[in-house]
Amino acid sequence: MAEEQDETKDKDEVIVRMSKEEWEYVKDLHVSVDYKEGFETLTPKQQDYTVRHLRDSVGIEFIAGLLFTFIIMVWSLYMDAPLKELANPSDTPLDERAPWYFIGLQELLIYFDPWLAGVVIPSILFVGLIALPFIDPNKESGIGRYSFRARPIAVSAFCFGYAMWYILIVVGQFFRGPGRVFYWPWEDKTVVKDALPVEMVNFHIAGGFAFFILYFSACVIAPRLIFKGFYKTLGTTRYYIFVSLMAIMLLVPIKIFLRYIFDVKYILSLEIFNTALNF
Amino acid sequence: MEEKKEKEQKGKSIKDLAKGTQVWKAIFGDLLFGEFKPFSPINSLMRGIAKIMQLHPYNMSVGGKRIIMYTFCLGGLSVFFFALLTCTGAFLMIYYNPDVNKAYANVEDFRYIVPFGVLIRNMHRWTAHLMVMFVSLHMLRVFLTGAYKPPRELNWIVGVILLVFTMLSSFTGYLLPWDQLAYWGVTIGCSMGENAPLLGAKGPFALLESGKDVNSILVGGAAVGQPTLLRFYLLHAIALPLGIAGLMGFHFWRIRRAGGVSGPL
Repeated sequence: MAEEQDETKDKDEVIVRMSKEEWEYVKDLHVSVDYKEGFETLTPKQQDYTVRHLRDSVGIEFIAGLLFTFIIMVWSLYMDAPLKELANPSDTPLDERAPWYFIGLQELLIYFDPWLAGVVIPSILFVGLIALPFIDPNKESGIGRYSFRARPIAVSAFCFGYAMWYILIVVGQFFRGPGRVFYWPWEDKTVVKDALPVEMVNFHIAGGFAFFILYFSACVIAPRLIFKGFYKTLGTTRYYIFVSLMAIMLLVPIKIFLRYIFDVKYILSLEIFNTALNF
Repeated sequence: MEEKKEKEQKGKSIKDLAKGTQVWKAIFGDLLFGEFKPFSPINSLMRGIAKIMQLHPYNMSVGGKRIIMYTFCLGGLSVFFFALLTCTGAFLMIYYNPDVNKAYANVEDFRYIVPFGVLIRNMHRWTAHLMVMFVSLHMLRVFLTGAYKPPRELNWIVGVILLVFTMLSSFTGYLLPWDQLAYWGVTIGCSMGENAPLLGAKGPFALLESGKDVNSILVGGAAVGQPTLLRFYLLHAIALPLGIAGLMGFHFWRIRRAGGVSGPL
């Protein structure tokens, strides 16, 4: 046994990066073989070591499963799943709401026309998520660890979108009362509040076109000027796809802002072939 | 010398003390974190399962102990929730009819007649919420650790589809109790399809009339009704779970093919 270990140690010395704690864990096991080579090439002691790791991670998963079984059981014992009265197509409730994971989209209905909020924006989101690994030009750094510094733009862009999705859900779930009117948490939701009669304004059609042209050209040009080398690392196609996706994402908070500060209903209102296209 | 011994005894943490007890040894001795025999039956069994299911790498490298602070078990728990939902869902299927006239009464029966009906229905509902939450958190984890980068791009795409399937699964299940909450929640959700450009009846440049547009494929008519309930039931109980299970198998297999979880394993 001892001879065998010495031999392997001489043949293939592999430097493994590990913390002191991990070293304590394996120091009596003579870790010196690359584990990716396969189970058979390991000495019996090293086999023990890998099996032990397998057992420990399965153990952690087992405990996690046990913990959540317990949580779900207690939750189910003390809280009943909602069940209201029988469905009645002729009686529309005041506060009709989608299931919570779609409430973000329902929130968007307040700011956008249904075809944008319910179809176009989710489709762009879906396509954007699928395209994400191909847009990211950085193929090597930041794999396998939580690191903001290794890829600041990717992390902040994704986290912004992710946070927006959940903020919309929280607002839609907890801050909306009857008639989808905004309620603060300390206001009584059983009291029906009339929506304030605000006169919504639209941008003039020229203004709307000017806004979109200026906005998108700013979004295309600004990152190229501010972040040196950004355009170069991304390449032309990736750059334009990334920038336009970001521009569309940022339009959502911009529209919300315009709605609440300036009472803007539509930035651009078009009528093409008897069809209203409002943005 | 005695002082030193006393100090040593005081320095022992609660965990160390617990490890010495017979109860700890009985529960965790051979199974989990205690002393262990490499070729005991339980370890051989585990190795065999790992080999067949490919749920875990055959070999694990040094960082394995940190797994909990890296993946937070988010993906694994999603699978666990899926299994739990399948079991509770199968139980609920015994008593449930996808019929507008019976569905609501069936769900009420879970409350008052069926033994453990309330508990199982509650578990099904709350686990579904947890699953949607954990799948989306899992996506965040995968993004933050760069686990979508080559060679794992395809697995990211499969993951996005799994997220959508999870949401659709939850959404189709939402209608089944056939109460006011379900009816109007699904009406809101389905009205989105009605407004699709070109293909929806109310969307811009509508080509198709109401009742024949893309929305009616899902709803089975102009408004939510009996056809909708049956369609949603079949989607919820057969199509989507099978799709999720199949894609999940592919998802895990791809993880093994890529050399394991991206992180410090």
